[in-house]
Amino acid sequence: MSVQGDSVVASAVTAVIVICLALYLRGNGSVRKPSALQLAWEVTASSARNLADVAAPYRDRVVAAAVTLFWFILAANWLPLLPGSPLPAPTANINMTIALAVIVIVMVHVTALQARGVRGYLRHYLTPLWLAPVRVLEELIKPVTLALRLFGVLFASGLIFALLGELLPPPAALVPHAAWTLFDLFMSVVQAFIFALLTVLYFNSAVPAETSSSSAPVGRSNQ
Amino acid sequence: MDLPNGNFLLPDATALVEGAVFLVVLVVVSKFVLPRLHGLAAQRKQLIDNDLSSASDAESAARHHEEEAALLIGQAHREARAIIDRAYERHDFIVAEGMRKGREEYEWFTRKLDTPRRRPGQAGDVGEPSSSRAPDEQSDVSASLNVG
Repeated sequence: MSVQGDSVVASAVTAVIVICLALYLRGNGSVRKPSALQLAWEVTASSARNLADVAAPYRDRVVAAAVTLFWFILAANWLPLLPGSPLPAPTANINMTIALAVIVIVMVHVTALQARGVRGYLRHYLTPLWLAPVRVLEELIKPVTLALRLFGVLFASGLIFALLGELLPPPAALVPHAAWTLFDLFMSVVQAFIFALLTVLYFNSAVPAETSSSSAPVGRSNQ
Repeated sequence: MDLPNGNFLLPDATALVEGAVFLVVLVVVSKFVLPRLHGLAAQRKQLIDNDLSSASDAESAARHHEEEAALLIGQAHREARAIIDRAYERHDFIVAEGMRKGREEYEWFTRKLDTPRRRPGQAGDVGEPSSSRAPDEQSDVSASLNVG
């Protein structure tokens, strides 16, 4: 099996950027005067925390996954838009999106097993029995849709940039290129948001609703 | 944009590497960053709650002071009214007393002018009657005014 070097380098650079930002926030976070970046991270975390109402006992895990996914995907989407960046968007490669989707789905199923127990987990898929194939199919489709949605959008975006460069001479391509860059900036945020949102929703669907209402949350209290 | 060789919709070993890279980021963020961010947010919430509590206390104190000030102002108004009323009463008394004194003086003078002068030594001359004295000599008006 081969490894695509440019995609790996791009994802590594993305990881370094996100980790540097995160560690910068850890070191320079302020209570009195938070920076815009700190507020953005806090808003992401609190939104994920509020959304993970059903999966409240596993809220820390859900918040960590959602926040990391959002910022990692956003950084990956914006990576080729950096001035002079030779790197492609790692999310325009199916390997990255599949990896993210599989990690999310594995985490969701581990959480479901913890919340329901093995018997409850199996019962969830087998009752009613005639719906079991549909449920299993649904679980198999989830990572595929999660991965293909992000990959499709970013891949198409890269294609349009390539087409603009190929079809139009440089002066004429300037305005469409700038317009598409702006749209791509916005679309990248939307895609990162959708991926993180779906992750939280999958976690919520993995945990039975009565778990969150009957037991006290293991995680921290609401912010 | 260079398309990869082969079917670009099929994942390869790159997915494993990129999954590992993401897991590293996930661990760093969840272990080192999110607890700190949560702590900062909780501290800010505590700070805001304290400030709101202080603002509420200050507001109630200000309201109390306003009520107290209104009470004092009302009391001052009542005292001022009483002082003004007493001043008017005194003014009326002084005016009335002045008029009475003036009238008495006037009557004394007119009586004195109407009374024929008697020579000293005439019968019945026992001196000036007490009622014919000047009013100033009869009473001390200022004493009756009780000024001050």
